[in-house]
Amino acid sequence: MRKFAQTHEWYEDLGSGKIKIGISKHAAHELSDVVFIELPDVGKKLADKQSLCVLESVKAVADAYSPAGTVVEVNTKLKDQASLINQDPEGAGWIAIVQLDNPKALDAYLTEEQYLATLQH
Amino acid sequence: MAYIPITPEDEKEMLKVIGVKNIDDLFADVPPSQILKNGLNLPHGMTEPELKRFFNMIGKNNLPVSDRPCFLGAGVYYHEVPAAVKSVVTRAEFLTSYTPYQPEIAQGTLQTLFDFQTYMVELTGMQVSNASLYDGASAVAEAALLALRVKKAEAFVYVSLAVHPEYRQTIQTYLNPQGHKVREIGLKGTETDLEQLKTELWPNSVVIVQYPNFLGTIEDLAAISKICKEKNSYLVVAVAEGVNLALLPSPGSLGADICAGSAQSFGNILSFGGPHAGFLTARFDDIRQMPGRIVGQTVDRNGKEALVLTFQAREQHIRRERAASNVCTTQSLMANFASAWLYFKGGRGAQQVAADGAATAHALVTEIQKIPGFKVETDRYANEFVLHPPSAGFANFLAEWGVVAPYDLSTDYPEFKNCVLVACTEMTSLEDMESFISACEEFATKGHAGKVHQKPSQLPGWIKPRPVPAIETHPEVEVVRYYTELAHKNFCIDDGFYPLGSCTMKYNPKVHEEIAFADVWANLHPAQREDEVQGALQVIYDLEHWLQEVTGCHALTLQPAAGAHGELTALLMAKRYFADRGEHQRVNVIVPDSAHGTNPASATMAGWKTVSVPTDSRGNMDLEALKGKLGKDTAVLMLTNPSTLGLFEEHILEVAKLVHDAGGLLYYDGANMNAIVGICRPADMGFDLVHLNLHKTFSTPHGGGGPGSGPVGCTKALEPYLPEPRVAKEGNRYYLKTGSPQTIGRMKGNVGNFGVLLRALAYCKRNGKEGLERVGRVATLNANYLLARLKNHYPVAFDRICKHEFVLTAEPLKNKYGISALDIAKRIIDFHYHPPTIYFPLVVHESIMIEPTETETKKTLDEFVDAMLKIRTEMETNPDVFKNAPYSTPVSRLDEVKAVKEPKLVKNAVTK
Repeated sequence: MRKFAQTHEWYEDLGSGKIKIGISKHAAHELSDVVFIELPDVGKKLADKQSLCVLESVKAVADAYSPAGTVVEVNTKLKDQASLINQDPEGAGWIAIVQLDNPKALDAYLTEEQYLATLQH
Repeated sequence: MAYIPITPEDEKEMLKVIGVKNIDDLFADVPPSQILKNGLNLPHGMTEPELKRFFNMIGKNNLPVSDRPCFLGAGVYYHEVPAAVKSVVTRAEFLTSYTPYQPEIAQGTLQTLFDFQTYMVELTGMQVSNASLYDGASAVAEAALLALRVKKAEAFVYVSLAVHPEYRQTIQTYLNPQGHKVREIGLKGTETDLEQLKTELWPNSVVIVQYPNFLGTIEDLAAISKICKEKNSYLVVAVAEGVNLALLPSPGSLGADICAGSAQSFGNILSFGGPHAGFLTARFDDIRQMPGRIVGQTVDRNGKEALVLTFQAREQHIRRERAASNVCTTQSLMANFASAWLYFKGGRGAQQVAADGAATAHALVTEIQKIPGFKVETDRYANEFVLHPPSAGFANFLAEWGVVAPYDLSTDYPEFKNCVLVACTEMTSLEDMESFISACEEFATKGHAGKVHQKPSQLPGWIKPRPVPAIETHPEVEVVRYYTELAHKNFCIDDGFYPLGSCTMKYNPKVHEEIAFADVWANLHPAQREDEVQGALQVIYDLEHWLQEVTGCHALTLQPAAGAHGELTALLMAKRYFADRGEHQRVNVIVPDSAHGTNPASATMAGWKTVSVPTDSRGNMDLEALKGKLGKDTAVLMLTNPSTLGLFEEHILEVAKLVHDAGGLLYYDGANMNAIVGICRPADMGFDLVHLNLHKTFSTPHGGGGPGSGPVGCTKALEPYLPEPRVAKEGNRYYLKTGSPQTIGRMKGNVGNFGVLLRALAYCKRNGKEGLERVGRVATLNANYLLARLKNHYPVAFDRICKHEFVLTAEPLKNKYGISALDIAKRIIDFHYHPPTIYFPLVVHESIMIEPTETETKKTLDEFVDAMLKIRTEMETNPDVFKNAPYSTPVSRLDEVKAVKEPKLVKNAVTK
């Protein structure tokens, strides 16, 4: 199941406390052409709501945040194809897989429906 | 008024349109206690002839190097600056244009900077170059910070003692506040002690050496690089005498990871030590950590090749507190001088210049060594060497002999007491050599050298010239035509109105240039003896006093090279101040959300955190929110007043009290000083630290992105923390003063951007009391006049009396017509105006920020309004016209995504 953060990330529960992280279609559209992603190193420990990585477009930068955990995998395709973030933000444009410190951390986040509702305002 | 064309009749009409009785009504938001009742306590203005006479008179107290044998180098070198180079680069299109953020009307500047990057990459053997930094010393300090970011570690920085002393001091100043540890590597003779380096170097560190080093020795970079690689450490190679890069194997080819230093030798006049271009070249992989602007090639909408500033996401205006550096304005014009010099000379010419200097130095040494008692300490040198005279007093003797004496090493290097650092260049003539040799013979009292019969051309066999740098040589006529063609692609102040908010693009008086290029200022070396540069020291001393009166500050430094550099200077002073008081817990720098990106970026460089305060509905700082952020952890509140919204901070006295009660310091960002010059003063409002931008308020030309100058003023309590050296006066004599135990040290080499200071003093003297008091008033009058005429047609962000600038918002227009602030800005170009600032401040969506300055006529302002109204009508009648605007420019809108995705950062090569 997917949860969303108000800071525009999606978190997919992969089971056993692991989540896949990416940014929402809305965020990808707002950023326009993403040209570079400063990917985290595998093994990086993240405090709660700490920046996972920085996404760079021509005239803006934005952070993607994660609940507390450890980076276990990154989408290395993004190194050469940052545009995947724009083409398929909620699929092939995923950013990283994080092992959560608290497997129940996702409970606090929004459902897709709730998230989309926040965009209406 | 010298440069303010608004007449009393204009003024009357404009006030009527605005709906106020007199100009003073426009300052009703300034607390009455702050208005200067008697104005500024300054002399009357001078006429232009009086001004020229004044500078001629004090110029007589300088002894330029141009009419004497010059053997002084030590980081600044006397080379030829061909008339053609000076002539083309000082064209108004380059001199008086802004940083090339609008590429459609700045292809000229972008091309010269792109050429500069190409040449620096070729000369240093690295992969990418930025488009200049403040100077050699600060460029090397930035290189150290770049290396530390790449290393991502609490790395040590090892600096060779053979690196220029001013560079070393600047590195210390930059690195200390972030907690980085600097260690020195000693000397073996005149070169870096490689044994010590090998023994002491910790893994994952940063090593800095100079090539050739300060003492003239050509360091064994290959060996140093090997030691660095074994310890997984980064090698930063500093360069002070740039022409040697055309002669010696490039640092890149010998294993350098970063190369940085001064490009002064390439066509930058001495100008008492500045402005001089700094450069930084590196590997492509490190580009996102590089400081400074970068130009890249892309295409416009029609597929035409064109240039644009690229990789901007590293920079402070986008990344704010996480920026790679706080640098904004750097040294575009001086980089442009370097480009033109290299375009003219080419790789072959540059190599010849370096070879001439080296051959001369070696021939001189051959003869001097014949004189008993003289010993040359440097083994492997190019054009500079350490000479050990038979007894003390040699430097004084040479000065009296009539030569520009070489640098005396006694103070910086006690092990070379009484020794001098002798520099030769292509400018050293046979007669100069003869004079120097005779002086040596005379000094030694016995023994003779031989005679040099012809200009030396023989290099020692061990100097194996590198392949000629791949930079084409051009005949003079081609240099002039190339630059003339480029000039035609630029928009500058002399072309037309430049309502660029927050940038204060006022007219730059011509007399300034005439003064600044006079021999007595242009050919003055910063390391000359104090009695030879009394006129220059007086300029600094006098300007400090004018700026003290304008700001109300107790003391000032003129060393910082630009506004952001001034910000950093002030924050470092505050940091030392709190450290001395044991208040290490003060780590927060508070800025309004409308602040320039340089503020948070400077806070980061000072090793502090940024805390942002929102803006209230009147455009002031939200006082309640501020109260919540102030506390024992507050170090400094940084504020522009008027704010970047062009509004006077109505609660400034309350803000000052709140900050001071919390134990913090209040800092004035002088970006918007033009609004209040002569009306009220930052120090009177309670600001403890103040910076000014001479390239804004004091009318020195922007140069397409520098040189600037960012003097910093302070209270009496903070004076001991000012950078050094400072200029002082005793009797009738001016001198450089050092030795305050609390000084933050050095921010850059030499005394600052002296050429800029000279122009600023000329501006002050020409305006005098009455002129300066009129500056803020008319700047504010003009802005309110434009606001009054435009506000019924364009939505205003905050509808109140503004100061020198105001902010419109295109958001409702975007919603209604689909036309954005960017579209409007691009369309304005077709009406022959520079666009206003757009998308800043960030707190106003689709913002359009207009600043007319005081130097425009009412007719110009009216014509601009007409154009804006016509554009407004077009939104309804012909909205399609906006899509592809501008139409009248050499190139159309550019593909900026391509510039980053397919980086092309040097000529004829795809980077990566």
